[in-house]
Amino acid sequence: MSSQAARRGLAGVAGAALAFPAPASAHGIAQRADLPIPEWLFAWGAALALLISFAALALLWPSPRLEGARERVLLRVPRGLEVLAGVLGLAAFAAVVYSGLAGSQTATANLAPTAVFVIFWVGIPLASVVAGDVFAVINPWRSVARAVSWLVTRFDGVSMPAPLPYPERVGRWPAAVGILLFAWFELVSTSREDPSTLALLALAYAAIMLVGMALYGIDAWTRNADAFAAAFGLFALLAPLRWDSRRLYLRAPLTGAPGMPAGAGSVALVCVVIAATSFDGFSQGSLWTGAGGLAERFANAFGDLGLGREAAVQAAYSAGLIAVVLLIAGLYRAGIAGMRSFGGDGDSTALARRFAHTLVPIALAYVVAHYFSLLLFQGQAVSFLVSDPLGDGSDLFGSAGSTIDYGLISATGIWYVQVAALVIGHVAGLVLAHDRALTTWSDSRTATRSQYWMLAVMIAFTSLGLWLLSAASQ
Amino acid sequence: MTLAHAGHWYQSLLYLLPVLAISAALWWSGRR
Repeated sequence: MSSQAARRGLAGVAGAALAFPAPASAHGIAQRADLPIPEWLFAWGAALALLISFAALALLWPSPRLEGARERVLLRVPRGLEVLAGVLGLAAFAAVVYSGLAGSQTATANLAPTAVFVIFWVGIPLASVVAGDVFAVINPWRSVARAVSWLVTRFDGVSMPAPLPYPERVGRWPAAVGILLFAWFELVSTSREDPSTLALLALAYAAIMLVGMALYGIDAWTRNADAFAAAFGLFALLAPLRWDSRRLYLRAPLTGAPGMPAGAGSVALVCVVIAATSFDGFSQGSLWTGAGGLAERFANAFGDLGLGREAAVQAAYSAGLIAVVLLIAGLYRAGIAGMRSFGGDGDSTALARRFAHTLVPIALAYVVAHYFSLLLFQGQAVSFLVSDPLGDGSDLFGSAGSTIDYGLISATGIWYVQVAALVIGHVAGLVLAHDRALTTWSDSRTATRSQYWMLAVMIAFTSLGLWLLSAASQ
Repeated sequence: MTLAHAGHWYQSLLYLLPVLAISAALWWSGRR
């Protein structure tokens, strides 16, 4: 269920079919007609805001402030609370899988699609930005692995065998590939709204994670190869709270980002997260979906190669997704190439990893901009879906009759939230890049000049984000 | 691309222009 569902909801059209059809395009335009200036002019305004922020940073931020910033212990968390969170995570996972397998196979009537595509994929990243790495606490497969490890040690009287060393050169590539596959399933696969497929894939994913953790150790595997733990952990880097060893630390916002692991696959992971959101927006616009649009042309080309219609359409969407990943990665590498011309230690790959954390606020901005309305509206569906998770007419908690209130915010209000998210996210990216540049180049003038290209990249990302939002409603 | 999408391409250009304008200005400034 992509943000298409929310747009459809805005139009007041109840979804009853398995498929989520083309976006209710005209509604977006009509409801945003009260904007004081054309939408494209917001891109100009955002570019100006970034330019001014850049100048202010150059003048007022002469030495690094974010690297190694201090944090203090806010509170200690009892072990029981940690166990309880793990049990709740596992129970939620079991409920989603059971609903998917045993419940109605109509996506809107089953808990599984909304739980996975809205609460899990959108809700957890946003919660992580506020409360820190919440997924680490509720991660169901990690909880199972930790429980097994504890039980074996406790009752068998033996310690677990030492895990294999996690290959450093593989790094976070498995997580990047995992997110790409999830995005493919969400945005390309024709089975994306099939609750039982979703449940089976969730089980398969959990099984792979358990095997991986058994081989390479819980922490190393979770940090590098658990796609969701790694991706959600990125957003948690921005949070003012950090959980570690049953302690809750308080720190200034953004100060966690410079500590992002900068090994192999770290750039790929952030780029894939941004690209997944970008392609979701782009694939809803008429430039992609319209008659004679890119999707049709790609599909025809794949059809000419001998693929059937459905396979050709999926191949077209797959090519689109890959193209957007390459575009995002290419934009970033262009910024890095520009930086390289000012020297700095290491090759361009090392420099790209050194600045990878600057993309994290952009990933967050894209998530907020594209999915804010989805979470706000479709998130309300949880209240009736938890009461009737199987879609069989039950009312477990007495809330099965509740409905979605589409009057919470207007389409214009959503637009302003989206613009604000993109501008704030990219200014945060600039701040992080400027701070890191000050530790990379010895004099602040060179550091500032090295960021000219990064500024251009940030403006490009902002403009791209706004264009995608605008294009999605046409 | 077909003429039917000319409006969309024009719209896209409006979003691209600030990127190009500022990139050109930065490039020029970096050269000096």
